[in-house]
Amino acid sequence: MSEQNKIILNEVELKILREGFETATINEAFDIVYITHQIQNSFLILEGGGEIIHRNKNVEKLELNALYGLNYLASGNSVPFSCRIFKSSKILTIGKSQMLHALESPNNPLNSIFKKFLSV
Amino acid sequence: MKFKKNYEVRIKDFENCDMISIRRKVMKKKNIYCDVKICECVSKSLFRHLSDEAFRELNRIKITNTFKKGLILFTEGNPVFGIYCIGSGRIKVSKTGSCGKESIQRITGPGDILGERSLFAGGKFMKTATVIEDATVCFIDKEFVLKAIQSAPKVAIGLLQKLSHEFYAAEEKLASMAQKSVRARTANLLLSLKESFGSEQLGRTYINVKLTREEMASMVGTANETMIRILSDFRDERLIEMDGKIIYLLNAPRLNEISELKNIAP
Repeated sequence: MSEQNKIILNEVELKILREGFETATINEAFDIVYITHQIQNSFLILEGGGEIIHRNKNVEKLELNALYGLNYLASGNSVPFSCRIFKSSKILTIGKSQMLHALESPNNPLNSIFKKFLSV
Repeated sequence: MKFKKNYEVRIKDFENCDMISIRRKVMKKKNIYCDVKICECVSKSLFRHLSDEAFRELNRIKITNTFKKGLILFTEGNPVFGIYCIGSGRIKVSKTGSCGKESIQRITGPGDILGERSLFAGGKFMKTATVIEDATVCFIDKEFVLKAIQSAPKVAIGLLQKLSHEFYAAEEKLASMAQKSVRARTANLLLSLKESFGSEQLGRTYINVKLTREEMASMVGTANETMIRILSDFRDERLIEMDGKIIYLLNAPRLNEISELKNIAP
């Protein structure tokens, strides 16, 4: 299983994701995942930002239009980092039931995007 | 030889298992696996009406985590991504007033569900949930919850019943705030905490949740100093005994009489 935390999406993939999932605006900064926890949602930041704090205390800024955490959501493994989304950010989230539904439906346009992420 | 035997047993544990089963075994050993078939949340919640197939799906998609004291489950004003079922531990649900002061609405424990009201009321959390005792919590994403409501009418009816009960309780609390003295409301708080979190120790009933005086004052709607004074009065009247944050109830019937008293107009 890949240890890569993110995958950058192209314009077409981004459009498919935005059509398939709701976006939400964060009113208060929050920790989308705590270290050693299982991630609850895979996410993508459309506007604003956030940061990942790794085990070794290194801080990595979240990139826009990059899908994070899908591999951990699929495997159920705990994450080796904490992740905070900043206030006023606009994000798109993918819940586990949505991810499983897309992976089990070969005709779903999200199927190939998710499988690409999981095979990296 | 003994080591070899143990090694063989460990290998046998995982033979013919897929990754999901292996993970389940590991999580059971770590004591954080929650089986929906026996989960207290499920038996008390709207999910009790799910079909067997839906139960299997719920088991597949739920995410279980252990939260240490002080961590925040969700923050008031943020979008709802799903609901939370408490397996163990205690979580306080609070609201922040315009002046920034925190007002605790309730303390939740094993079997309680958080977030469903916000989910159906507009999609943003109306309160903040903070862990006050280490807790194991299952997260269920909102797509599954909405699908469960749509596919099983009994789930929808169960939800209506739950919301109706909670609305009635909220109206009662509002009436209590208007009509009862702080002393009566404090007695009522102690009795309701006893009902939810009461435990027995050496023949005495105590409230098995540690709250600061400030948190209790917030739940009653009074100042910290008033709460301290009223608890001291109750102790002097031998209605309660305090050992740090632990409160023992010595005379529940008398507390019940006090909680029924209304303000007398001059």
